[in-house]
Formats: sequence, structure tokens, C-alpha cells
Amino acid sequence: MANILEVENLATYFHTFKGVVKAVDHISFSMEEGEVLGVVGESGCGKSVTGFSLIKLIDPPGKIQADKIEFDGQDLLGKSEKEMNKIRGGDITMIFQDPMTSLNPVYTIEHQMDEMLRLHQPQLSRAQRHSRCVELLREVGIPNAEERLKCYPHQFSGGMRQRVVIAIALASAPKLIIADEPTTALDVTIQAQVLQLMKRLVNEKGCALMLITHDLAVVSEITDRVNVMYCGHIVESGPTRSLIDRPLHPYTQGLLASIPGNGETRDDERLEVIPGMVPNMFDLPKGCKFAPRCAKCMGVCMEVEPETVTVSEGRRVACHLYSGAGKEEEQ
Amino acid sequence: MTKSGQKNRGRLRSSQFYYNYTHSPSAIISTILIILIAFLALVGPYITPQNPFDLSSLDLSNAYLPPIGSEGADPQFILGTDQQGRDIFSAVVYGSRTSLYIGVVGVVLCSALGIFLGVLAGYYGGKADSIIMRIADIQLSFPSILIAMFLMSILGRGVGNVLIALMLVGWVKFARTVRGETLKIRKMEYVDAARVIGLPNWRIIVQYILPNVMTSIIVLATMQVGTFILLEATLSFLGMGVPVTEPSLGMLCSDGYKVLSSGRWWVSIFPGLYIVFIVFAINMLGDFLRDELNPKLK
Amino acid sequence: MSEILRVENLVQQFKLDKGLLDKIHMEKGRLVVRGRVVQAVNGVSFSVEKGEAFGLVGESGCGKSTTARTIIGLNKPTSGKMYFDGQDMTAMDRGERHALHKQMQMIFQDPYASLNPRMTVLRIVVEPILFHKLAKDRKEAEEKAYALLERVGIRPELAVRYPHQFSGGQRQRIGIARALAVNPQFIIADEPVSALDVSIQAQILNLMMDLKDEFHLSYLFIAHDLSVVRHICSRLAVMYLGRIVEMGTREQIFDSPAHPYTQLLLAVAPKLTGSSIESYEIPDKEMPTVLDLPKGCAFCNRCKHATAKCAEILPETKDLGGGHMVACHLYDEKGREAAV
Repeated sequence: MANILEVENLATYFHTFKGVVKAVDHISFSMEEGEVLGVVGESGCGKSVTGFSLIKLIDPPGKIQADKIEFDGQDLLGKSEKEMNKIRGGDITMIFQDPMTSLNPVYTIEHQMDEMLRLHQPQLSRAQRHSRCVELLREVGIPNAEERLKCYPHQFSGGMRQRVVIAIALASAPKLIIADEPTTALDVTIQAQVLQLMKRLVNEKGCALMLITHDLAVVSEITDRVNVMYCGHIVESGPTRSLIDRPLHPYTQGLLASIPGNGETRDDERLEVIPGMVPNMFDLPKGCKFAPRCAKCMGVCMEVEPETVTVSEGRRVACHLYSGAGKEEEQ
Repeated sequence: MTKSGQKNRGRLRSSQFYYNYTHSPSAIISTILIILIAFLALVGPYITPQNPFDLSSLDLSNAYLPPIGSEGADPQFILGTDQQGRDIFSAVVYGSRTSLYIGVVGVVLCSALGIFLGVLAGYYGGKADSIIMRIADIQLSFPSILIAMFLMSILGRGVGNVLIALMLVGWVKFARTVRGETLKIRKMEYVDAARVIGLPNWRIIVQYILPNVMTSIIVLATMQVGTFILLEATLSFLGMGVPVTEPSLGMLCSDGYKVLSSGRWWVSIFPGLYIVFIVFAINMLGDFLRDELNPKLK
Repeated sequence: MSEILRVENLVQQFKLDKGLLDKIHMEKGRLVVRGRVVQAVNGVSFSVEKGEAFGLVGESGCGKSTTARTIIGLNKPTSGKMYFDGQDMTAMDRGERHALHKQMQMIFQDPYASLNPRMTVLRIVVEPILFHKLAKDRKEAEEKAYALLERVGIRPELAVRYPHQFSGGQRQRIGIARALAVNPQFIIADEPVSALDVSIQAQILNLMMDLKDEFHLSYLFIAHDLSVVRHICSRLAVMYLGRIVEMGTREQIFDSPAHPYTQLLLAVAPKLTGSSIESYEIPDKEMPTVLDLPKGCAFCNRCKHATAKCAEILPETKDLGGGHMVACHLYDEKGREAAV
């Protein structure tokens, strides 16, 4: 299948008064058409900035650099702000964590959906737009679509609001949806509904979904492939099942082991933990960013940043344990 | 310097606030201006050529001398003189002392009243809140100059009376801001934590609420100094403010106003310009502080 | 073993409309004067044994946090009884209340809001020690505070800093040190790890388990995350709209959940094994609001076993044996599955 998105050496740096924050530091990845890609990591790892960088929504003092951001055969890097505006909300749409802030509280749902349709599908007539709105709401499972269109965002519950946001994101028939923690603010039962819905719609419409989340369990429920990020780097990527079952990078291993109920730990026993905490973004370690917390840290890890190597089919990892230098040292 | 002092300075230096301050021309300029104004007011009596309100030092033969640069000016009186031969420069410096004193002390008094009532309303809620806020609402439905004039007509002229009037006019703004902030902070978990420890209410207010509303108060107080200087000037201009023995800038304006149309513009214009200058400097700093410390007050 | 906390029939309501003007509503074209009432907790009973970690789980709005806040004294209960170590908490005088603050402490959810930004970390921990006169002077109090901070993993030289200079996990450690400062026997932890990253979550949970043994603590642990509760609590209660629908040991609840709501919660929680959500049939309806609770079982509109009886009659709590309690019409008085 063809790639819908190809990113090479994307780097987003924030130049603040204290110094440079390398929020995303030379990452490369790609997405296939219709694929669900999970981007997972802890807060501050650069997962959200990655999403925003793709559609060039980074405000100063942030700066985006890349060798290539190619979406659907078009080079996004060379696009002007005006052209990007057409793509955002058109071929690429976003879903955010808090549905209340991504909907405008002073307009009805219909008004907001209609606006999207007018912008991105100008060929539709007024009546066509209305019936499209009804259809979209039905698709995301909102009962009494016809009446609910006239409601304001505050008249919906959290879960329903997120459905409306999804409906708006689908309105322009996008080829890629970037969802930034779409279910984090929701309760478990509602989260399950929304995840089910997203998975179903993505399958039906054949659009790709980039799911940015901190929750590995959510990732394993609905994604096809995962990028694990740490301090602005993709430390490991691969097909979801294989990555969760056999994590390669010590960070991924530690992350999975520290989830209660997973790993070796039984109830009531101490959990396995990754010691220490995420380093200060102003003062990152020289070599591998995870080295100071890593149980398998070697001399080379403190000095040299590991290259990303392909271990097996689709499995890539940036760790000296799997590269030439590390293997030599081990011997 | 003490050890903790140094630590605090280090903390300040590395803060975002310090960085933004040193990179904001308007903040630096306004600070310099305010320091200059304050310095001039403090050392005024030592540097002015005469004490403009000591009648014995005045010479009527010097009456209505124009400022230097105009025809017939006396280099001794750089900004000219008024009808009694009083040096306008000296008068402006002396007048700014009264104006600044009223502005600053007035704000201290009215913030004290406003903070007290605001915390009372916000922290305890209930009846106290309803009563205080209804009074505030009623007061806000009248122009503040009207209330001030009404109060001054009851109290009579005098610096102390002006301060009382300003306090009664200005507390509403402080009370409303403090109440709003208190309501917000009261819901913070650190206040819950203090209650779980069992701390009495007054300690929670003093140690947990007040330090955290301080930034909003500082912003508001800065802006309010400018407002009060203007309000006092208006009152004095209308003859309802300070007494003739302690003239403020507004009073000087009013004195010169009578001869403004007869070509003797300097008597009134220079005090007026100085008011504008002071208020401008204060508001510029206030704007910066507001943007930095509490963007919600906009 | 004896009970450290017993809660009987706790009810907590909040009046939403305080002033007379707020009480006037339009209803069916007519003006009526009626104050709306939030029924946050509607008759909750449970007890916590000494040395036990008891969990209270449920989704947002189920009343678990309100229950905790009422027990710790941040709300005044509308009705019901609470006993701490055998003492009736609702009938305490000032002195007894004051003493209770030393025995019962709380760890809060949001590490970014639970520390006073204007106090140094040292002062945050010293304050309760001095206030309750647990040290003879400031110096001794500070020594105690340093020791506590070190115990929870904050290096003593960092104690002069302010909260904003710490990460979320470190702040939660400071919050724990503050709770421990008065030598409590009982700690209420309100979602203590839900705002933290996964790797930090595990560190804090470990710390809490270690401290429990070391300081002989009992926990009331409030959470929405079932895996966290399962790990740390030996007994738990599941709440839904202000009522406990099921209560039992960890094994009873997780291995043989009896209430349809518990079954739903367990089924839809995302799992690392993946693809369990996709096929599960999730009820489409949402929770009723706490302003207008249904007459019968609050879960009946989402329950696939619901009958006419469920909508009409509030189910009584029944014992399924071994302390496994469930409030559902599917089970008869003797705890057998009723023929519905």
C-alpha cells in the first residue's frame, strides 16, 4: 500500500530565553493509507509537538525543520500558510483532548459543521450540506441527529461532544486524522465507545489515523503500528502486537513492566519501575537520552547517540544493544 | 547580603518575569521615569530655587514671568512664574509631592479596605458576600467622580478628607478582584490540604489566600495610583480637593486656568503636563505588570 | 483486626440554587420556585479495617471523591454516621476534631494544585508539625521534615525550593510527606496517581505501599483506574451515581464481578492484550444526571438485564457470601441468581 505520509528528519526546536528545547529531534517515520498509527510516550516526550509540526501549527519561538514532510504526494514544507489552511481541516483534520475547547460555545453544532463543509466542499448546496450534517451525526452514533444539530456544545455530555468533534473532523472526508489524546478526558465506558467509533470509521472511510496518547493499553486496543517516543526521539517503532509482546528498547520494556497488572508483578507486590525521571529538556544527556535511567546502560550509551536500526520486519529501535557498537562492547 | 537574599536574587534572575522585564523597553523606560519622578518629589525641597508656598520668599515684582525661551524670561525661573511671582518649576515639584502622596497613600488605604471586604466575601460567602457585593454593585452604578464630589462636599477640603473619599470610591475594584481570586484559590487543593491539617480560617487566609492574590493586587494597585492622582487633580481643579496651603498639581492647574486665555499659558500647562507625564509612566508600568502577572485582568 | 473507619448510610447533597432568584425555573410553561439539589452521595456504607487498603472506584460523578471529602471533614454530611476508631465523627466537639486531624490525612489528586506556590517545600511539611505541636521547637520540626522528605525521595538540599521547581511526581512525593508529617494512622488518597505519567505512577504506588507497612497506615484509596486499585487494594467498592453497587475482596470483584456495571467496567477498560473493546457491545446510553436520579436502579437504562422492576424499585444490597455485596435485582435475598 502507498504511503500517505512520509516524514524525514523532522526537528522542532523551541528557542526560549533559557535555551533551546529540542521538543522533536530529527525523527523519521511514515504512515500507510488507512493505517492507524499510535504515537505514545510520557508528557514532554514530543508526541503532541510531532502532531502539530506535521500541519505546521507551531507558534514562535518554535521552529520546524525537516528534510521532507510529504503528505499524499505533496510537499508540505514548501506550502504557504494559505495553502496549509486549505489542507488543515481539509485533507488533514485534528481531534483534541478537550472537546469543550475545540467547539465554539456560541454557535450551534450545525453552524460549526456547516462552516467546515462550506470551506472544504464548496460545491455542495445548502440543502445538501444540511443532509450531510445529519448523515455525519448519525454516523458517529448521535441519536435524533436532526434535532441535536440545533443544540449548542454545552447541551452535550463529554462523550457526545467528542463524537461531535469526530463528526466535524470527518466532514471534509480527510485522508489523515491526527487525534491528540482524544479519550483522555473521558470516562472508561465512554472512552470505549469513542475508541470503537474511531476504529470503525477509520476502517469504513479508509482514512489514516494518528493517535497520540500516553496510554499503552489504548494503543494496543486500536492501533496497527506504534512509535514510542522519549525526549523528542522515536526510540522504538513497529507493529503494535509484536512491539507490546516483545518490546526491544529498555524504555519500552520498563514502561510496560511498570503498568499494574502487567509484567511479572503480582498484586500487592512492588511494581517494577524505571528509576529516576525524565531529564530536563534544557539539559539533555549527551548520548542516549534514556541512558541515565537505563538498567542496561553501557559506556557507549553515555557518549554516542544510538542510530535507529531495523531489527526485523518493521521493527526499528534506537538502542546500542542492537547496533554494532553496543554488540562489540557487550562481547 | 544575607544568604537567603542571594538565593532570592538568583531565583529572580532566572525567572521568566525578569527576562521579560529586561527585554521590554516600555517597562524599563517607565521604571526609570517613575524613579525620576519619585526622586524629584523626595529631594524637591533641596533642589528647587525657592519654597513656593513660603510667602516671604515670593516677590510680586516677578509676577507672570514667562518660561525661558520666551521674550522677557528670567533664567532664574525656568518654567516662568505665576501672579504672585512664584516659580512654576518649584510649584510643580511641590505639587507633585502632594499628588503622589495622595495617590500612593490613597491606594494603600483603599486596597486595605478592599482586600479585607473582598476576602470576607470570597472566603466566607453567604450573607456577608451578598451584602458586600450588592453595595459594590450600587456604588459601581454611579460615576466615581460623582461619589467623590458628594463625599468631599460633606467632609470638606483637606488632604485627609481626600484620602477618605478616595478610599470609599476605590475599594470596590479591589474587593471585586480579591473576591474573584479568593473564590478561585479557595477551591485549590492546597487550601483543602490546609483545612485537612486543621488550620483555622484566619491562618488559611493569611498564609494561603493572601499571598496568592498578591500579584493581582499589585497590578491593580499600580494602575490605581494613576487613577487616584487624576481623580484628586479633578477634585482639586473643581475646588473640592486639597486646601490652598498644600496645593497639588490639580490645584495648580486650576489656579492658572483663570489666566489661560490671557496668554499666560505656562501657569496652567506645566502642572497639567506633569500630571499627564506621571500618570503615563505609572500606567505604562501597570500595563506591563498586568500582561506579565495576571493577563486575566485585561 | 478492628475497624478504623466505618461509614453508615452517608448522604451528601448540595444545594445548587442558593438565592431565591436562582430558584425560579420555567417548567412546562409555568414558573415554579424550586431549588435544584445535587445528590452526590446517596446512602453509602462501608468500613475500612486497620492496616487495610480499601478502594473506592467509579467513573466521574459517581460520588467517590465527595465521599472522601465528607469523611475528611471538607464537607458537612447531609445525613449518615461516620465512626473513626469507634468514635462518632458527626458528634465530635472542637478538641476532638482537632485531634482527629492528626490521625486522618489526605493525599490529593493534582500535584500542581495541592501545594501552596508561595511556600517552600520545607515550610509546607514543617507547618503541620508545628501547628499540631509535634516538635518542641522549629529546629526539631525541620529535622523531622527533612527526614520525611528524604524518606519519600526528595533530597534535603532541595527543600528550600518552591513547588514550581519540581516535577509532577516529585510534587506528589512532597504531598505525601506533608500528609505523613502529623503521624496519621489513616490516609485518604484521592486519585493520587491519575495525573502522573505511567513510569512515575509506578514509583508513587510503590512508595505508598512501602509507607503503608512502615508507618502502619490504612488507606482509603479513590481511583477510576481499575488496574491501579487492583494492585494496591485488598478490598474495594464500586460506586455508580452516589451508591455502592458492589463491594468485596479484590478476588471477588475482579474474578467474579456480580453487578452488570462492574462487568461492563472490567470489560471496556483498555487492555494491553488488545482488541477487547472492538467487539464488546457497549450500551449506547449515558449516565443519568445527579440532578435528576431515576427512581429505581440508576444503572437500569444502560443495563442489558434490566426489567420493569429495575426502573421502579431500588435494589437492596445482598450478600453473595464472604462479604461480597451487590445491589442488583438479578440476585435474590439469599444471594442466588434470581429468576428474572
